Amino acid sequence: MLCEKCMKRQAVVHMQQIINGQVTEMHLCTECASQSDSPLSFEQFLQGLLDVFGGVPENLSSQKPAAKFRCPVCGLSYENFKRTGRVGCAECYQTFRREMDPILKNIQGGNRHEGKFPHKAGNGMLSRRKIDKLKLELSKAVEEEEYENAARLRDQIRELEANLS
Amino acid sequence: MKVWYTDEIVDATPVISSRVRLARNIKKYPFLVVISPEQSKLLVEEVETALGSHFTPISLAGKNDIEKRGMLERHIVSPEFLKINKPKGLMLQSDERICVMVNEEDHIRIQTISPGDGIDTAWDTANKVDDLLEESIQYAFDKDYGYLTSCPTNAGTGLRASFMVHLPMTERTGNIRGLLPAVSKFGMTLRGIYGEGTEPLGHIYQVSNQVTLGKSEEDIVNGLKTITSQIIDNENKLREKAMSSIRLEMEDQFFRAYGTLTHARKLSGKEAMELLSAVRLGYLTQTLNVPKPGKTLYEIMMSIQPGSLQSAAGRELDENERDVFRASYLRGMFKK
Ligand SMILES: [Zn+2]
Ligand SMILES: [Zn+2]
Repeated sequence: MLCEKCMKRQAVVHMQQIINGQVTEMHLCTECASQSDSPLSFEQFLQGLLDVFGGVPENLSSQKPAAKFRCPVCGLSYENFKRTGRVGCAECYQTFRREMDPILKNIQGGNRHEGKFPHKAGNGMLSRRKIDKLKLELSKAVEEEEYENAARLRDQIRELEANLS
Repeated sequence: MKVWYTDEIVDATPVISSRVRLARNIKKYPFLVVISPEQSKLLVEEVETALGSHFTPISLAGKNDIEKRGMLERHIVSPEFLKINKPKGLMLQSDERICVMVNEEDHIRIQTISPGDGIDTAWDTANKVDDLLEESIQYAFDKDYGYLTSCPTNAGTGLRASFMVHLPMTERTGNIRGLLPAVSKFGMTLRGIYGEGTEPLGHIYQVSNQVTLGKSEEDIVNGLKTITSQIIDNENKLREKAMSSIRLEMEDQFFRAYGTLTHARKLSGKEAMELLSAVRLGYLTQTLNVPKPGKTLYEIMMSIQPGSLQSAAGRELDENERDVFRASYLRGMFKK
């Protein structure tokens, strides 16, 4: 086996390193092993990208205890869903909403859909997105003490919310 | 358009291909674990009608196991799809760039492939197929969770975007071992060529997003591009470094691999993939100055997998026969 760092000499030093809970092995020649820095670390290498994704996601936290109920539409039990990780129908997402929400938050980036939506779900979705956006603007306006602007935004939000319900 | 893997761009850079998969379900039918065979039949008919004349339905019933395996090796179907024991449908376009699986883990799996770095095209195409289906189909959709899927890990966008990348230097230098934990930090994953749990063959990996909810499709695709470009930059740097510091050793490997491919009488799949990987690198660095084979290297790599090989032979072959047939197929490919 060739040394991983210089790829010239035979690797004679075999090291184990624990990075981020993952055991990684390194095979180096004596010369390279004696130098303190490890070969190109992807940890450091990709560190600069962290900002792009808004930080490292939290680790999976403990999940809630299983509830003993079934989906009224397809009959799938929560136990069954937990065991297989598969739901039985669209309604399961409503039935198991309370249990599923924190799980989704943990395994996914968030628990609110930000992407494409069917045209048929259209106007409601558009208003919802718009409201979310206006609310952000509103809190910014309040923060910057632009009260006239804030009042205008608040009225817009109210109007949109009234139309939604 | 020509079949994606015949485009020379698949051999031109470390990026072999770009893929997009969209998972969708129809509101009125139960999902895979609950759906009955009768409902499955209706589902398949409904999707075939919705896609209309744009696609050719492929009958799986008429295919034997060898042919099915070949389709798996060409990334037309997923291993899960072949295992499902309920009525299912498959719609394919002749250039193999778009395929729709019906009654896979989700009712509908739209899959698009583009040669080389074509992720935007792949997403654009999948998006259009989705729009076409939506004209006549009511999807299972929730305002918070987006497109609802069998497995909540796909909910939201239902999008899996991926790059197939060739990383010989990253693997050889051991950099690959640090890559997986780093990539997973960004909600992405790195796996072998034929998906989860498969051993990487010929130093080919698939980088894809894990997270599907809470980000828009554009953000997911852009995130994947950013990560992949870092991986590729690093691979390129390692390659340049090796080509300047141990050029002769590198060239020696390329020519030895070429020599074996053109003369060996028996080759295992694993060995052949290693050799083809070396030859790919040889062409990429423009040091292996021998004529290129009549097909792209990636097409050859798929053709020497067990299913495709036996399809070409027209019969079942045991392992030993396969190794002999594979060597002879490869000699033929590289013959001037
Ligand atoms: Zn060394
Ligand atoms: Zn249900």
